[in-house]
Amino acid sequence: MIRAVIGDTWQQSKQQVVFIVMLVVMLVVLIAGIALPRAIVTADGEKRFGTILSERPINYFSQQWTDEYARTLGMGDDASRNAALRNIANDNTLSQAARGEKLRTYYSEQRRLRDEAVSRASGMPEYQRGVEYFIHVVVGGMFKVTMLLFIAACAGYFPAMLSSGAIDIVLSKPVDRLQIYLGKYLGGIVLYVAAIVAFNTLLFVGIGMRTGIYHFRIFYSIPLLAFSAMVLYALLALVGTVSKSATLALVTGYVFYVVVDSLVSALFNFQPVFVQMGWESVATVSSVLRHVLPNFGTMNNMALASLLNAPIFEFTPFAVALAWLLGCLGLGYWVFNRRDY
Amino acid sequence: MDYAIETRDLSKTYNGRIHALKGINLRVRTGSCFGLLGPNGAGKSTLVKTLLSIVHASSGTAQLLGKDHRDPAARKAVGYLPEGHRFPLYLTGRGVCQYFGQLAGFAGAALAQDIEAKLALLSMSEWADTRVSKYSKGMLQRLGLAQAMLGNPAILFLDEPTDGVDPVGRYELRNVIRSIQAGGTTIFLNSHLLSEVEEICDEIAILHRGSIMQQGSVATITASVGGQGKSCLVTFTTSPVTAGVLAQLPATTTPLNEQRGFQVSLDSESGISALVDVLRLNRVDIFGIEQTRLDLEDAFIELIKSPPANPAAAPQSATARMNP
Ligand SMILES: Nc1ncnc2c1ncn2[C@@H]1O[C@H](COP(=O)(O)OP(=O)(O)OP(=O)(O)O)[C@@H](O)[C@H]1O
Ligand SMILES: [Mg+2]
Repeated sequence: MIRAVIGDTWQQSKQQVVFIVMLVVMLVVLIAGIALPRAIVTADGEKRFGTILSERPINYFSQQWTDEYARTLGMGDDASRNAALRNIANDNTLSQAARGEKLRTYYSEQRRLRDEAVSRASGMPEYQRGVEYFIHVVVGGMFKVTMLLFIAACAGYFPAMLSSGAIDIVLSKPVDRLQIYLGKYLGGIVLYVAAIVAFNTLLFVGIGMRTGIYHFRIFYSIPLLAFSAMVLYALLALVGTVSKSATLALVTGYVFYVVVDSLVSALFNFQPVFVQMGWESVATVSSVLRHVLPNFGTMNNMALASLLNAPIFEFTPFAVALAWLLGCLGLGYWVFNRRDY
Repeated sequence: MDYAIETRDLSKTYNGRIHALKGINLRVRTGSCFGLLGPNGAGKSTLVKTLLSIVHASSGTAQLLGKDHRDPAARKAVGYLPEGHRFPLYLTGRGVCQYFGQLAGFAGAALAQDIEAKLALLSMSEWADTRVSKYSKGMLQRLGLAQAMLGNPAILFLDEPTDGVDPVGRYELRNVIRSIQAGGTTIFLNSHLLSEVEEICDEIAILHRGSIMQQGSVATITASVGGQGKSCLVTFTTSPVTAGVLAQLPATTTPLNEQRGFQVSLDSESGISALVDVLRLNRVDIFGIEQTRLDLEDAFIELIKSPPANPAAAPQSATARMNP
């Protein structure tokens, strides 16, 4: 049964320009990702990271590696960091000046911890850091672009299935509606995940052959990337089921993935500033939003950080996204199950 | 079991307002061809969809092959050709059959073989690998029937199967349906085409505004609606008939407009010759004689005219009658 639905989703996708475009984009990024990097041996015999575009080694990637690693370490645990900041800001026993001093101390302490972690971690050769960060860029770029195309491709899956005249026969089969709904959902996810897995595998092998570094951690990014796609597709499935409109599903998908996400990220990134300025209510709103709305940006960062072996995993965005995933799937199925077609 | 389909007080109300089915009690004998006849909007499609749980019943119960109709397992041996279906345009004829066959739980070589057989039966083999988007209406209906027949279901629901099909195609479809029934499949056929139902079905129910008005064989229904005695209706097109001549004709005579002739109900066809004699004796020119069979069609129209009708009912039945 599931096979039939997945097969059908594939048949449907093959006809969709965006889906083909998505595969083509993946292929182009893949080829570029494999072709560009190479090892450059300097005069003193040191192996450095470079590209085929120039004879000179490139420091950018290895430096970014360090920065990224540092950033993720410095990020620490949001909750405890925010609590610390809030405690300082709300401490009425302190004068304005003392409070400022205390915040400054807090930040410099954080910076010190971070620098220490970085210097400890960067015992890794420059060459390897370069290659790893290059992979980070390629996978991250691939995901950002293909996610936009994936939204466009799968916005129509549910509306097309539900348009009357096509759904009657499906419902007349000896299959319950839960299986049909989940089958259609998994059909879209399987295709996308298969594409990501294929991409990462080919990149793993290709870059390994070019640079000699087989970076197995590339596969660690897949679960979280797939999870992001699953959350978005569950939302698109819900909107598509309720409205039967591919356009509305598409617009909702973009609003969430692009607009809402940027807004939540921005609010959150400025949270320490709000706290510092004593705008407790704004800080509260932004932290509430963060516990209510899915944050794809943070999840992508987590996925990509796991690729660098940077030790971050934040529970909040994951839990919020999981709640959205289950909520959308449940509600979508509930609507689908009680409707007449 | 005796009945392939059985319903008890099955009702459906859409959106709490539209009473599409009002307490339907039906029994369809296993192996019979059951025709559900009714004008547009009578609730025929709603009844089939409710039986298949495509639409949720508001109250009442139904059984397919002895199983509760809400249980997916009840649909295991059921084929369905919906009204106005639209297959995914990106599929070929074979692809459509494969998709729906797999959904029904068939797979592998057995399914492939079955698909070939069903496509051949409906003379669709040469179109099997053509995209559905290029199919004509008649081809779509034939493909729909092929799809419904996969796995040789015990019950076949056909909702207006010959809709949009030309007369030759209709004739072929009817033959296929007959042959399926001969194979022991119970057929449930929805139609507003009286001639069609009359020709292939052995049992008929007339549905009107969500209620079954009558159920039985073609003969029973025709007989039960005052069909007795008026077995033949004849229209004479003639030169103007004077009042004197009209007086000599049977009491059932009604003149046509503009003195173009008259219509008359006769007990039997043998009365036609006698009328011709009377007309010729009075030097009335006869341009044409046309006999309208008094059959299911009249029973149908009688039935749906008689209930406390709203004015919309009449034009509806007129449209039904227009169809060949
Ligand atoms: N999904 C729906 N939502 C609301 N009302 C509906 C729905 N489907 C059908 N109806 C209404 O229910 C009534 C019966 O419709 P149905 O389609 O069952 O009639 P039908 O006998 O099949 O007619 P036709 O000969 O035109 O196919 C009509 O009044 C119709 O408007
Ligand atoms: Mg109908």
